[in-house]
Amino acid sequence: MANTTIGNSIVIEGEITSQEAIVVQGTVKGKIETSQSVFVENSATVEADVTGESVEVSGSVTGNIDAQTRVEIKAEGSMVGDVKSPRILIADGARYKGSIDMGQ
Amino acid sequence: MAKSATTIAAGTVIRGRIHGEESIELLGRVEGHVEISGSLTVDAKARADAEIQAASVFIDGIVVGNVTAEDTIHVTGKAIAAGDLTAAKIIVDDGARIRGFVKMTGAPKTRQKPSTTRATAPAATVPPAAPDQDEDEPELPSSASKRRVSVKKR
Repeated sequence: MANTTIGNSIVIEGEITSQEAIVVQGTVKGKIETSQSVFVENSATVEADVTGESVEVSGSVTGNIDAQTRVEIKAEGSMVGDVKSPRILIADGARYKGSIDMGQ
Repeated sequence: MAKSATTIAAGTVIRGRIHGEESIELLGRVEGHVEISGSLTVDAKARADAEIQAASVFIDGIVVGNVTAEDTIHVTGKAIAAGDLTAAKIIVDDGARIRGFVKMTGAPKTRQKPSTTRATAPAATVPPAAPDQDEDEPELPSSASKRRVSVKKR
């Protein structure tokens, strides 16, 4: 219940700043910033820079991801943009274009 | 309260434009524009500094900005609404604080009754009183924005 959920038909143009997990099912254009996890679900389109503890991509992301712990691009997911995270998982079937920075 | 597909949690702030075809439950903050075909619930601890347009709006927290609903606007006893409210039906509970112009677009039944009893007067004689209500319309929003300061102070 503490999650912020952006439903299927919702479009947000602007920025989301949060202390909670964010679940995106709809569309977000702009910026997502949270101290918790971000879930970009199947139906979601994110055209934004995403900052979070961890980021899971099952939908489509265009933008850069900066995660504290890990980024996972699932089989259904597609992403264009740079990823900065100490751990990265790209599943078989996932589409990705961009550069990866895992730090030292 | 009906569970909305979209929830904006207590620690979340959204700045910008939100639109869509569903309902939103706001527990956090929104600044900007909200335009949805479902209903918007502004929870007790939530705050919206936004221009709002929805099928219906339930305000239990703070709303600063104009609110337009196709159906109902319900302002509870704990709520603060600073801005104009426009809806077919507007419900205001005891204790609610409202600054702004309230306009009910629907329910012509309630208007017809008084107009039959006073129909003769408003046409000619009443101007000293009636224009107050009608001509104030453009002024009220500006006075509402002035008063917002006092609302924020609380």
